[in-house]
Amino acid sequence: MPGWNLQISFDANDLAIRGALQAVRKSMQTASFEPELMSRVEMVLAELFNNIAEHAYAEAGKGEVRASFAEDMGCVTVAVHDRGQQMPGGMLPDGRLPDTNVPLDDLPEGGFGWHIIRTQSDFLTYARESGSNVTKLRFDLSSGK
Amino acid sequence: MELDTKQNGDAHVVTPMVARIDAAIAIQFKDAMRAATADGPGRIILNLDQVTFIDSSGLGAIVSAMKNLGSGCKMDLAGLNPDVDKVFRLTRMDTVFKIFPDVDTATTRAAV
Repeated sequence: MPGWNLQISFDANDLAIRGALQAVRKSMQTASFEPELMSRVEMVLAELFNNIAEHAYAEAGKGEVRASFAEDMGCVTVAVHDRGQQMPGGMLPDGRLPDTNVPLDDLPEGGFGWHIIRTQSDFLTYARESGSNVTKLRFDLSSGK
Repeated sequence: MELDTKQNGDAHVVTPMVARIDAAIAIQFKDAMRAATADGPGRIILNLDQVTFIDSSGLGAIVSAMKNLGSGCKMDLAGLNPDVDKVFRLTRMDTVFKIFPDVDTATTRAAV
């Protein structure tokens, strides 16, 4: 596990995202990370990658995502790059959960993603750098989340 | 996608035979659920014991499937693995669905 790192790139579409998540899990399994941490990484990156496909690349209809992973001093850090549209307002969404205390027909079917990303990662930053979105995340090995 | 269905007492047990309910399969899942539950009204138990991963698109598809059932029908969940259960808890969807450890428990507590 110490020194573990991984670089991946893939097209921002549903099946390629699934493949990327499975590749990350496999690599983390080989490196003997805790199952709890692997699950958190997969859960958060699924939302982030889906979001890039559905929003950042919505207009283009396609685009590349690059992600690099590293283990360092008991943390896993991830840097995700895409060349899609900038986040609205240049900031990450706040991740407020939609109201679930509503009649059946009004129950939310989406809007959960940023809540999952924000609550299941330990540190998160976003920047627009020369035409790219750069999202950086950190997962602590024993954060109890 | 394949949904295994069987009648268990007064409940219709629907089991998705997939490991992942994610964005890549969400629409197929909704369509398959609509076909599998077209017989309502009644009680549906969605058995997720084959599922090891769910994302918010998959969660949305399950909510959508329940909404499609309408008010004459009820959908409970069973067999959530810890990672799947976590997604329901994080999004407070555990307050919307009744969640049972497994199908047998869900069936024996049908009258509750």
